[in-house]
Amino acid sequence: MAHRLARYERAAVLLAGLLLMGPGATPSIGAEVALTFWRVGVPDRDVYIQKLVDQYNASHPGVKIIHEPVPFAQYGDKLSTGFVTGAGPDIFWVSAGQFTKFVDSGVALPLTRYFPEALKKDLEPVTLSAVTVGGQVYSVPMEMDPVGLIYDKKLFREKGVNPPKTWDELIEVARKLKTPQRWGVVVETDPGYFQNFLWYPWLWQAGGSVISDDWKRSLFNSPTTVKALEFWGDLINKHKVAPASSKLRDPVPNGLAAMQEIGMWVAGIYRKNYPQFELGVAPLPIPPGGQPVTVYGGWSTMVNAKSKHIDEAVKFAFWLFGEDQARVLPWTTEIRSSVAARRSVRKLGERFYEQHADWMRLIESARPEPRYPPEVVEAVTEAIQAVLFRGTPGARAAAMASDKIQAFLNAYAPKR
Amino acid sequence: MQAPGATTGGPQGLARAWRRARDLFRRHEEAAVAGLFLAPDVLGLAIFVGAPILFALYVSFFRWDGLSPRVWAGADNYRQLLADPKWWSSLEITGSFVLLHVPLLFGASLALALLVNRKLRGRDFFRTAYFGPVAISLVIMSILWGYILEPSFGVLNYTLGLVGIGPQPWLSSVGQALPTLVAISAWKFMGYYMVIFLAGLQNIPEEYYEAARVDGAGAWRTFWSLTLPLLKPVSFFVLVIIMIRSFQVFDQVYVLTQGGPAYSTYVVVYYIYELAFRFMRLGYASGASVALFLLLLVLTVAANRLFRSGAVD
Repeated sequence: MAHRLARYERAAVLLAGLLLMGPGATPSIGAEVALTFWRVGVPDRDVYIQKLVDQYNASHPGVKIIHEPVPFAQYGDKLSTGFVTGAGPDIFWVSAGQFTKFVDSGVALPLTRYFPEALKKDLEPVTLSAVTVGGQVYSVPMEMDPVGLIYDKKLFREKGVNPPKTWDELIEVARKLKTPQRWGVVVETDPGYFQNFLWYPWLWQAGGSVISDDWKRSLFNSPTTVKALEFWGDLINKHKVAPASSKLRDPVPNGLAAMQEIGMWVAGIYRKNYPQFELGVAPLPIPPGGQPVTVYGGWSTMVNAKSKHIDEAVKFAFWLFGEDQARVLPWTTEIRSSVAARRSVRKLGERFYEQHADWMRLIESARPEPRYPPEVVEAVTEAIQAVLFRGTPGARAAAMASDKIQAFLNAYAPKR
Repeated sequence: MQAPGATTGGPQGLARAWRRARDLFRRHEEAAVAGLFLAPDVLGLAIFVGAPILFALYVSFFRWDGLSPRVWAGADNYRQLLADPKWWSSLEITGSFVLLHVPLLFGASLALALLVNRKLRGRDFFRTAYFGPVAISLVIMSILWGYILEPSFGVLNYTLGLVGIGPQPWLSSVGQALPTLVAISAWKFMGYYMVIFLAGLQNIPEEYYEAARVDGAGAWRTFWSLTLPLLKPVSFFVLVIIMIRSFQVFDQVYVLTQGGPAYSTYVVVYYIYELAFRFMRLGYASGASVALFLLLLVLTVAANRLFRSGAVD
């Protein structure tokens, strides 16, 4: 039956060959268990975490943790798509912005029964309650980033100005220091949960709140909400001391702004990148009759309930920053410049925290970032954006958002 | 060849089938070879484009957060969509984008094609230069434009300042954000459609233009009565493609404005994206995608009718 293959037959054989070549089969790496660990990547910090991961891999034969830093802007999306496609990480960091979504959808593994007593006692109680839902603990806290008003100390000295203590003083100081090249103050303008995070303290200072503690009622439609919304709007539109676009990079040390509302994490970054810059930190200015209060953020370590290696994942989650203080100290102090959630670590880092006494003082009046579900975050975002950029009166924005929040809360029935 | 009823089993059956197939192929050899070469691409499209589209259609009848089991919802998602103010407002915003973007892009690319069609010096350089932006990734281009358009310190406002124009807010203003996105997008894709128009222009025989010149037709008359009608098939193609692509605008919004400021650039695909990945409502997002697809289908058919009916002559 030997005959020359006709053209089409040759093509068919070629095609079949190409298809069969396919992706090479990856050989299995023996009995090694591979776990993926995701967090938001920041180049300096990535190096330290990678060091810890390498240390873990070396001291735990048979287990390989694969560390993957993800850019901040894509982190939430990458986590969502990862879990939906079953390619989610085994261990990952969450902030309040993603926390509730993953607890409600069953992605977060309840860690209560794995939680060491010693660690529970060592953690600042508020950090533990911030990750506890319905009596179950869902992540391992590690840090607290309080938010304050940073300012250029040298500039303030030169101009003979003191950091503002009240809302009116803030406007005054910002006006005084504003020049065509420099804004008075920067408040966050990009929509999203980060903007909300920075805005909540201004609502809380006058006693306002977004929703009731039992998450059943919206409290957003109130005069305090209106005041807080309009204060931010006025900074940008009426007094024109704040830019309508906050996409400036490190505005205060770069001389692009005199003040900014931002969190403690910049202390380490600025000390490294702007050694000549004198960072001043002040509590957020308060309205008449208001109480000093601020917000703190920070990440915690969560475990994927659908991980194929739950025990190993849990082990690593606690090993990272829940055990030896020597691992945690460099992270929270030098690298991350945040306040450690563990009291023992704070004691160890006494000297660092003394140097950052201004930030530490903020912790006393700091509430944890609320872990509202995306629908509530969205409603608040709409209100802030409307007042800041559409000229919507605060009362109307607050009312509309409050209706949306209430409608959502009425139907909200988490599967816990 | 075999008596009917004879055994067709085993190697004899296979050999017979192969011979029959080969005879068929021999008769339509060219088509068969073409088919075989197209097969990988068609397979890829079917698996990676066709199947997900069908799956989205399927999912649109469920309530699903991607992680828990799917819950049958019938036409609930579609009913909810019709009553969803955000859906309609995002369509409205997308419509504004389309109405601004399509004429601008169409006109600009046609103008560029006419320009570089003439025998000018440096013509090849300009053709390459105008096509350049097409080759940049849309995401990178958006980031670059973000820096250029920065209100306080960007290059554009600086340049305007030199001629006495005050700094503009661009992407941080509710009024300017969408038109700015339109301008950026048109800038990026002008070169692409310029090339398509160029091909169409070069298909017009030179003799026609000579005849027109002999008849005494001026430049505008030539363009209107000669060039444009002969470009009709190309124009239709470009128009429909630009329209569909404009409705699908996403990358620039995701990188530059995230739908802001104050939702002034909150286009429909961005809404679908947020529904799926921020609010984890995959069923609802799929329904919205299907609705968008149907809308584009209707628009395309309408455009088709309009062209064929000779409304554009």
